[in-house]
Amino acid sequence: MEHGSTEPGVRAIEEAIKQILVSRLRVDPAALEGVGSTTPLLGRGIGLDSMEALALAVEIEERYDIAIEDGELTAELFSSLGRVAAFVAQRLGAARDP
Amino acid sequence: MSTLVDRLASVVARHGDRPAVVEGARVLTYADLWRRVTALATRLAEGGVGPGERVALLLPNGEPFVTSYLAVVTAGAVAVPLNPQYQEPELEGFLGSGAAALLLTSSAYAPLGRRVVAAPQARRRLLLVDEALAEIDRAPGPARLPGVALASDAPLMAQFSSGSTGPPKPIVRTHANVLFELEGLGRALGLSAEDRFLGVAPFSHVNGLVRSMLASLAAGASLHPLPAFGRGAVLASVAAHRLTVFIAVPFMFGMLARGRAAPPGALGSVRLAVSASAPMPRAANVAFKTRFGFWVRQLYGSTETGSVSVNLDADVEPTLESVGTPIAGVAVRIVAEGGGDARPGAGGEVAVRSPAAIAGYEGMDDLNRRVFRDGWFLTGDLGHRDDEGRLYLTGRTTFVINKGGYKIAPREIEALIETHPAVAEAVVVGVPTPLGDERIKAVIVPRGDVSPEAIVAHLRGKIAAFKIPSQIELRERLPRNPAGKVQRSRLAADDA
Repeated sequence: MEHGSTEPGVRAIEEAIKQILVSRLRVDPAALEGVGSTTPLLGRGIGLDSMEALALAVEIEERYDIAIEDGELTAELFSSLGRVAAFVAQRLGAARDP
Repeated sequence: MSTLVDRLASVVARHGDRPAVVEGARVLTYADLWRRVTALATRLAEGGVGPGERVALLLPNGEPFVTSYLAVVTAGAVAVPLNPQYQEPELEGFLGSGAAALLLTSSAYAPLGRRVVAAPQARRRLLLVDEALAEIDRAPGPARLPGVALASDAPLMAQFSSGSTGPPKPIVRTHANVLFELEGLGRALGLSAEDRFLGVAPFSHVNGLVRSMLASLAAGASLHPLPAFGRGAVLASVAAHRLTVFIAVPFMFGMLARGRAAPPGALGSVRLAVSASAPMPRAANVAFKTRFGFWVRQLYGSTETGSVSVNLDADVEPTLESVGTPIAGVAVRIVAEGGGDARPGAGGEVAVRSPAAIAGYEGMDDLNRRVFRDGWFLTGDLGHRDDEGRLYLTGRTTFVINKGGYKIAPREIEALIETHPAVAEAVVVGVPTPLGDERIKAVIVPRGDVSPEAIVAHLRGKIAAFKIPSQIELRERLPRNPAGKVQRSRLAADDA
């Protein structure tokens, strides 16, 4: 937990996203070894394409009960694992402190 | 009613004032659409486009696609719809084998289009449809058909099917083929001028082209195209226009059934959701039903045969995995090993006989002798039928990767990877996901220094992004059976 909040921290969210990649998107666990906050999710990093990025967003919505708009599904959002995790953490924080 | 043009003219005569294509606040009636179609067709004809000539379309879903496709066939020519996600070398391959002399595209795709038509010995021309239609709108005139006489067995459109090996197979369907399919679909699905279709499945592919775009137009219904799938865009279009027919692929339905974009009841106006091009997993369909209150119906068809069967069972839950019973006029057999008919429940290869089907691939005599026999087309799909004749699909006779409804030949990607100087051998497989989709995995035996990143860079720009493997593994050797054949299924199952 960070800053005494009840929301999961960015690191915990990153781990949860990795679990989603394996269980729902069938990413090979071996491919996630050595993956860190700065690893890109698209193209040359984990290798998601735009359909898989949407599928990941949908699973994140399920896991954290947050909504992600079409317009938020940008290449910038998926530029790194840490960026997506920070987005989720920020959205969860906003839900707590509207 | 001998051609698609006759059919459209008859719809225009009956429903001229009704909306044909709706994009946002812009409504084109059938009369408006017909004026644009005939004006563009006349311009094409004056430019030398005529019966038998191939005209390629490189456009996303939208009114310019609808108008261009109809204008090409109204001029008597053969439409060759191409996926706008394709890259230059892929387009070269299709245009070369399809021998299209003219490419219709829009300003957004002009740089790519210009490179394709500028290829040496291409002798192709380019027409920017948005500019041509703007000119037509500046000087509107009455609808006037170019004077072209067409027979019902004239070619209407050419598409391509991916085999597991070899080049794409050219599939040329006639006006009669497609009119038969539209008639059968219209009756089976109860389509009428009161319907409002979502046009989100790609029009460059048979599912979006025939089952959304042409089915909507043939019924005198209104078509609501979306250039790409987005959950918000789909929900907004359905809600704003109270759309009634939603024909798409499992991935799209699956994305709406999960996540937080779509509240329960958000598809309340939809009377019919039909999934084709890939199997819809039961779990995804149950999630869809739970959220929206109705089932997605599975339809089976192929580019070669048109629509074959659809599951419209009143109580569909027990038979949810079935693609249903044949559409009127279409016959299905399950061919057992040895060539006889399989008994109910026993598996075999699915064979189809239909007036909507082609008689053979263009210029592929050897293959045609193998897969077109006595009026039956051997689909390469494996399946069985139950005691009541419902068809269940269980797999393929050959390896083809299904990515969101697009069929991809592994060999196409393998051959391209193997052009990298540091690659000795490559095998590409589809890894099934719980979403009913496949993730593309490449296993590479290197012969020098090479990284997965270098392979991705090597492929980029040569094939559509959706064909680029999401997972690339380097191995010293590939798993093989005692006969030396690569064990693809072990690679796909990740246990090799």
